[in-house]
Amino acid sequence: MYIEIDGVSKQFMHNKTPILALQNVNLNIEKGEFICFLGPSGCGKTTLLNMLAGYDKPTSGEIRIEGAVVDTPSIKRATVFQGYDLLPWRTAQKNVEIGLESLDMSKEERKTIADKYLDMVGLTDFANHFPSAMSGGMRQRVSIARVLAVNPEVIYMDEPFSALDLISRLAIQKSILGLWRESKKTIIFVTHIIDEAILLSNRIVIFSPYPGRIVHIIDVPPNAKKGDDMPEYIKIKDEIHRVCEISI
Amino acid sequence: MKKTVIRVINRFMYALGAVFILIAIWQLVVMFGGFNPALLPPPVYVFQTLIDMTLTGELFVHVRISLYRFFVGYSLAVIAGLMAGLIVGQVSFLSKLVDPLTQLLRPIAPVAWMPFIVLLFGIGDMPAIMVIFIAAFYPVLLSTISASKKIDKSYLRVAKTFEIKQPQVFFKIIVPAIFPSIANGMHLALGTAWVFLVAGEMMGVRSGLGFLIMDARNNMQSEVLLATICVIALLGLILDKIVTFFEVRINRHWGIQK
Repeated sequence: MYIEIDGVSKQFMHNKTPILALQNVNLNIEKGEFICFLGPSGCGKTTLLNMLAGYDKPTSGEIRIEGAVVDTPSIKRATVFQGYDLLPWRTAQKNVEIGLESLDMSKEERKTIADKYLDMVGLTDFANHFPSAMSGGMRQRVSIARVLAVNPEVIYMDEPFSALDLISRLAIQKSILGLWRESKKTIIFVTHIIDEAILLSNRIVIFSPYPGRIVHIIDVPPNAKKGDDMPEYIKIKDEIHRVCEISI
Repeated sequence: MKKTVIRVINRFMYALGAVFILIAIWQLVVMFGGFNPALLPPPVYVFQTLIDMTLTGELFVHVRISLYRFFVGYSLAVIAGLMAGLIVGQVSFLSKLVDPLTQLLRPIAPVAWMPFIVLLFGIGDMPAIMVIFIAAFYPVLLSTISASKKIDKSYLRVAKTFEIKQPQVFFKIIVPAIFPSIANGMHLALGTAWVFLVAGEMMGVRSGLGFLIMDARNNMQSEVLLATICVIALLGLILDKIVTFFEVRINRHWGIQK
């Protein structure tokens, strides 16, 4: 097993009262899977992602990747966050390069890689623009390119497309899917949009809130991705709706 | 582009209008206030004095020495305030020590140190430079400390995500992140320090704009006094505009709109 989530619970203190954000979560993920965490806000999906990435630690239980306990962020497991965390004093290209600067690499190599991923997110013409001169969607694409550039083994994405308009969203979903098929990277993707989950992932993990827990796991057959009129697609969507109605 | 030009001209016209109103009030007070004209000279006479002082070159000698003292004191304050602020902002027990200290020392007017500084360093450029230093130091120090304390968490998360280690975090993330606040602190410090320039030159020196004021008072030359005040105001305005110019550019670059 590549990633093992073993009896993980997480408790937060809010105004001195404990809140159980996650209760006894167990999940195994194989290398090369594209997993979507689906659920309403407050269901702990982002909390679990933060612990997988090493920004936070479980109150009880353990998360292991290739047998080693995750306790700190690593460049091998990079995260695309929602919102805007680009460094405003760097151009798009320099933002993409920041992760590469921690790796042993010449200036030219860095530029080549940055160019490649800026091209992939469709921002070649904006390489020398500062974040303040870009739209929210463009900034989010730069932060995706920044993570892809360091070539991580696992990519975590926390609702990375929430700031994008529908058209840019469709385009970038396609490129992410293409990237995943080519590179066979392990991707864990948090979303609250059912269609997005079906389109992208090979397994959908459905969360339910109060306390946050996994209520259902659905395998997505390749045929379901061919369009929202496919019988497989409709079947999965019905299944998700049924699960959500019962548990939420 | 054309719109900004119009806006700049518009603002300039308002500023000109304000100055005109001030001079008009001055003229009216001279005409109807019943003051001795030797004590309150009319604007035209002060303007004439200003031109005379410029033509004889006397003014430039004093302006130059004042600006020299100002820039030495101000630059030292910026360097010291920045370095101290960056260090203190990073180490939490230091900032707990420095906070009460600045609260204690800051309310002391820089001029209050003046006699003490003269005793220690003697008369000359040093007291004026020190007063300017003290005046400029606190704004730079405090804005640097407070900026490094409330640095955006998401920038630090970027450092974590990509395993950026010290000292790179400091130079690549922290310093640029607080740069706009530093620029703002430098701007504040400039204004404060300029106010104290005159006070710093009122004792122990025989040159500079502050000396010119004291000298004019001692010789009962109110026209020289007022002309010098105009020069101080004008230079202060120019310095402020220069710093604002850079600050706006920095903020635009950093994506801060004001």
